[in-house]
Amino acid sequence: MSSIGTIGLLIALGLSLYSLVAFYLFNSNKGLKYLLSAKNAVYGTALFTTISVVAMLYALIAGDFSIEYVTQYTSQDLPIIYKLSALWAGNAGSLLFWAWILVLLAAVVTASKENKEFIPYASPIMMVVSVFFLFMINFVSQPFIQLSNVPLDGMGMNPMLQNPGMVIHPVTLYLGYVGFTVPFSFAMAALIMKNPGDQWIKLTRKWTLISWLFLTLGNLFGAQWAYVELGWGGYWAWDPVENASLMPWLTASAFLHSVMVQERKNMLRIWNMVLIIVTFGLTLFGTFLVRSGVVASVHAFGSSSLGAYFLIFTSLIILAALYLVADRINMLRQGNQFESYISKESSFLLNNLLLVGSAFSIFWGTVFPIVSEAVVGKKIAVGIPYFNQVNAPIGLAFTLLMGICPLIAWRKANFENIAKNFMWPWIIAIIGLLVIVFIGGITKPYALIAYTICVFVISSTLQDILKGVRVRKKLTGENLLVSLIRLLSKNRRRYGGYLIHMGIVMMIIGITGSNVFNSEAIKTFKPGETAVVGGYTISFKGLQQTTRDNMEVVYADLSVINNNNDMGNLQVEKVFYSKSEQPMTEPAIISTFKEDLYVLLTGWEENGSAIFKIHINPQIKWLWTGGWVIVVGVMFALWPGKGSGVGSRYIGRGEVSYGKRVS
Amino acid sequence: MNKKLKFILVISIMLGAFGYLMVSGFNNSKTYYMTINEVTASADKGKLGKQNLKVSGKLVGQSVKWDPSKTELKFEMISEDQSKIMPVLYKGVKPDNFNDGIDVIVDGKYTVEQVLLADKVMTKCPSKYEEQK
Repeated sequence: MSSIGTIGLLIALGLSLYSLVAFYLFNSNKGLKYLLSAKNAVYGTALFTTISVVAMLYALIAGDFSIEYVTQYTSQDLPIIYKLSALWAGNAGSLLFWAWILVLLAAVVTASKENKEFIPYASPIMMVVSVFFLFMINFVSQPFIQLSNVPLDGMGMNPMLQNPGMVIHPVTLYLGYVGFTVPFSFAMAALIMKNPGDQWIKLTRKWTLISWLFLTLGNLFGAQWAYVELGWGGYWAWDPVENASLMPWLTASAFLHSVMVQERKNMLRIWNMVLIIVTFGLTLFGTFLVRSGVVASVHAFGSSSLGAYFLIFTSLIILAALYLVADRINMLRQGNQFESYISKESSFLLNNLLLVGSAFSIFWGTVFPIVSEAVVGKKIAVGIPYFNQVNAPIGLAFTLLMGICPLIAWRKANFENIAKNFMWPWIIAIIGLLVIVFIGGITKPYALIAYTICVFVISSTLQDILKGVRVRKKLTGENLLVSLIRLLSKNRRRYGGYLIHMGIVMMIIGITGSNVFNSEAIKTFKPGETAVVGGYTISFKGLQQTTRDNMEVVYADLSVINNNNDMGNLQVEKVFYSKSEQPMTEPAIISTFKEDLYVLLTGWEENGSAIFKIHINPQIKWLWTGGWVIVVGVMFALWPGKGSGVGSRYIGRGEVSYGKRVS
Repeated sequence: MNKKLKFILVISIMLGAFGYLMVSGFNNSKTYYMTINEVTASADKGKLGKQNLKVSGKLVGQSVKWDPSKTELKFEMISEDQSKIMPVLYKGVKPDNFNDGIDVIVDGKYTVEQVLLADKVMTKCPSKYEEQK
């Protein structure tokens, strides 16, 4: 297996290099045969990398401990799903996995018919990135190194990684990271081809949106995993590695919005170029942070020499990209100018400033230890309060904009219109505020502001849909339901976007609730004892012990009653893996939209009493559910067929008319 | 020109607010990364004061005292060169992989009793078991 893998990767590297040469020859007018040859080399690269990945997966499952990587990350008693996920547990394997996704994407893009014009330029750019990754796994971090003394069993996987999060979080995150190579490559192709219009944006819209979705999910699955893993500081701790995946998400979100302005109004061309370059750069920068060991993080891979390679490659490709932008700047400048500072496009610009500002503040906070060490010789870090203090107001302003933006007209709006449009949402938001204060009894200012904004965004979005339905009903004479369904399904991009906004609002609600109202208690229970904690009546019968797969489990069954409702049993565990001395504390959670009851078994005493740490985490479920709403929103917007396309270009009327797209 | 001026005004107000947030947030949460040797050296000179510190070291396995009934964790960290030991007091739950020799990152303040009072104890999550050397 080892030799198949090694040879496969070597051939893949050779083919990827050859494809660059062939693309170059075609682009210097040496004939069509070179294009065909280059394309075949791209497919060949994908094929041989796939062979290597299959070889690695086979070795992992079969337990081929002659391969060092297999020995380091698996053992015979490891469940098969974790044997498979060991592919991305270590440096070498995860780079192999990354390279594999990348070359598969490159092959799909190269084969696609609709991209024909762009292929000779976009494809080689993807291949340049592929060459880098293939080089890394061929020469720097080799997954197929063999051991001279073959051990009988491997060292096993770190118990912290034996969690469903390990299966799904890295995959979604990598798909998101790698996906942004596509819009980046097309952007660069557009510059090289001197075609600075919005064609590259239209061609890559699906890729951008799907990559963004995966990045969103990757972050959320990571948060969900960290939430149940003791010692990772909850679902979000502003850890450098977490920040590394949030930053490209923020710039990508900005990009998704600002490209709409370019498609509609032919503005912001330079800005969009810069945004996609920055986003792509940040995906690589994240990898550099995770692998280099330059910042202290709880999630980082073991430090290695990979960081330097990533830093150099990232710098080179970003500099080259920026050089291209600078070289073509006059061409990019020929767009339209802003006509009014209250208009949809300027509200988009504001949204962009907020997102990029947030990304910048996080970047600054994350790299500050490196900067300060270089400048003053002292490593100074910034703590969680910094990130919260900067990003909470930005987040709220950004949420507010989600309510305002869709209701402002393109080109030029006026205050009268805006006041009229927003009257009802504000009235509802104020009623909501009163309800929250007087019935909900909430008085904390941050929560009040956040919830009021959320109510406003929801009601202004609903109002906009309602308005659309009314106009459509009037024009077509359909009944309410039919016109609602047709309105939504014929403008799926727009309303899919609204749905995504609703998902974000739900996440904001979850983040607010869980940060402002969380509480915790530590309680010692004697066997048979019942106590009330945070409104929950919890009874503890006693500790038990059992053996499961490759581990010893000490657990407590707690029965939980809340408001006379039987909430069932919570099985709180400490798990002892055979391969490691360390126990794993597995929380048990009862999750409702109101709050999570989150219980940890922290220890026990000789007399059989057990000590529990009990957290009440309000509204966390909103955060995860919001994520699924976003998935639905993206699928709704992207599902092939009528209505998923780009809305009509702005044609000079005062307001985008619903009537036009009905016809 | 007037329009442009308004744009610039709005954007500079935003940047100003943004800068203010960054600077004030920064000053409130500035944390000095230090090794154990650096902490003891600066403490001897009385230069440490009430700064937030982020100290990393290796865990001394047999020093761990975990009292679950009080949720109080006491342990010692040793510097990379094995020369200095620093006691830590943490009012919180013992992390799971709290084994001898693991990398520990502690956020907290250094007290006059020469104990690091921790707000947060993090253990590095190695993606693999280190080979015994």
